[in-house]
Amino acid sequence: MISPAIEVKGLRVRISGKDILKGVDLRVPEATITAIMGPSGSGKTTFLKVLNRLIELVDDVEVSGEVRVYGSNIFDMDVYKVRRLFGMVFQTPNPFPHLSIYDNVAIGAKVNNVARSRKELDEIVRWALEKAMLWDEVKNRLHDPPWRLSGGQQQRLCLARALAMKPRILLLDEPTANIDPVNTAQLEDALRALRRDENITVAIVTHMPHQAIRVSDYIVMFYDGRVVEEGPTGEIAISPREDITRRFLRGEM
Amino acid sequence: MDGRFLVDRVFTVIVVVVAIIAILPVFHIIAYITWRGLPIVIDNGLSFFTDVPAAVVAEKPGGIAPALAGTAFMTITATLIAVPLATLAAIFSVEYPNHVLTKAVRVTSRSLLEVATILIGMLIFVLLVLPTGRFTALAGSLALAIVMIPYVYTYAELALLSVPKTYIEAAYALGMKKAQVIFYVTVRVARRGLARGIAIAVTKAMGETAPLLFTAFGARSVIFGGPLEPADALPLMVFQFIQTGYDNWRALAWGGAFTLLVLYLSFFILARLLVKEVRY
Repeated sequence: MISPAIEVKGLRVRISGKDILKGVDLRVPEATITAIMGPSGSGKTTFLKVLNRLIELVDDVEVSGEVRVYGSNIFDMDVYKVRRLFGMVFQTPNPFPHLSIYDNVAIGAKVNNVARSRKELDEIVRWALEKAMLWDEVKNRLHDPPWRLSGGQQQRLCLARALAMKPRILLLDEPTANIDPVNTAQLEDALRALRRDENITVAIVTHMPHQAIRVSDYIVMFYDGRVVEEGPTGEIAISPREDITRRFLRGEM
Repeated sequence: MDGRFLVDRVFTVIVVVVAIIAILPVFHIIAYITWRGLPIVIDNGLSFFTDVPAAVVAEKPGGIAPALAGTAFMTITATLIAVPLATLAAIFSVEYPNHVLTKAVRVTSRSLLEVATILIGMLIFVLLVLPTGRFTALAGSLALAIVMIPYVYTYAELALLSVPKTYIEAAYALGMKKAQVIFYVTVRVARRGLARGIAIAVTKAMGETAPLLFTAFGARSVIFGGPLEPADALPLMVFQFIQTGYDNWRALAWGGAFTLLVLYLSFFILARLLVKEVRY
């Protein structure tokens, strides 16, 4: 296996007294796309939010276990530094409504001091929009508000916003759940290109088995707050070891 | 004819009539004040806004300059005190909803909304006017600031709470610190609601008479003597002049009321024009 970007041992999450993650162990290989799949309520989104410590925004949450990113325990690091390692795209497109298309992308770079000059910022915005496969569609209306874009374009704008931070790892929480097939294909193409050209590690949560197979190199199967199976996508797709994975791939759960 | 259709039409008519009855007094007030006040403003021209009130025996009414200057000073000063304080308190309440201080601020704010504003005037009278031995524009400003705080706080809290969590989450995911999330995202998404609260509070302060009776007191011989001198205000002048038997002072009161009305309406329209709605 390729060296892990993320290594998780014995991760447990309890929210308001309810166990959401019940001892997760897994490794996300570097510069690959790992699909985290499983039925609704299996803890996929919670797992993603532990990685960039967004889970700490939730009231009454207890987290235990070990999460290492490039060898460092994220719980020993400054929370803002941890979040700046990751770019995140959410299930529902959420570009900032008060900012223009340009400023939505630029804000991540500005906050994280990625750009040292206006020219450099312009270049980063263009690079991020190109990588999100949105540049050609918005290059003549960068100062429009984001609500003028379609849902799929808004989601790619959110991808560009995350990329402008120059993250090492990209987290996507069911990013295509609310967008049409054409935009879904474009987003998936963008992810493959990012892995190939930029060596970005991608963890994508999905409850769609076909998407997991289409887009990923590795699959992690979640069920009831645990990892029930993980491995290369080819192996899991053709001959899953666990009955739960088999049933999920057949669309029976 | 279908019975349900008939009932629907009858209720529609009732609702429309009730709505008209409800808003009729507003139009009546606007029309009556304009009818009484506008001719006085036109007759006296610019001097209506630049002169001090004439003596009771004079033919001309003079002007409302002291009231305008006092209202401007006290409203601006009160706004400068109340808006940052109340907005910061609202941000604190939204960020730390279970903090004991939040609960205290909420209770205090709701109580202040209900308190008769004359009591606020009396409080400042006891705390500031009696110890210093003088009525001042600053004391009036402080009283108005206390009147404004619960309005700004309540509207700001509602506006901030209505910002969808998904934007806040996205901001934290970008690595923003709490202050950056508040400044770059929460406050800016909620800007229309915040502006609405400020506009309501400012107009409330502009129109208050009671808290100024014991604090600013009123002053007519000079346009504005300074923050540490007594000062006049539009509602105070209207309240005091309309009760006199002198025609020229009563004319000033009607002209002043019309000016106050124009200030109200322009302020609301300006606030709406200047602060664009954030569309999700």
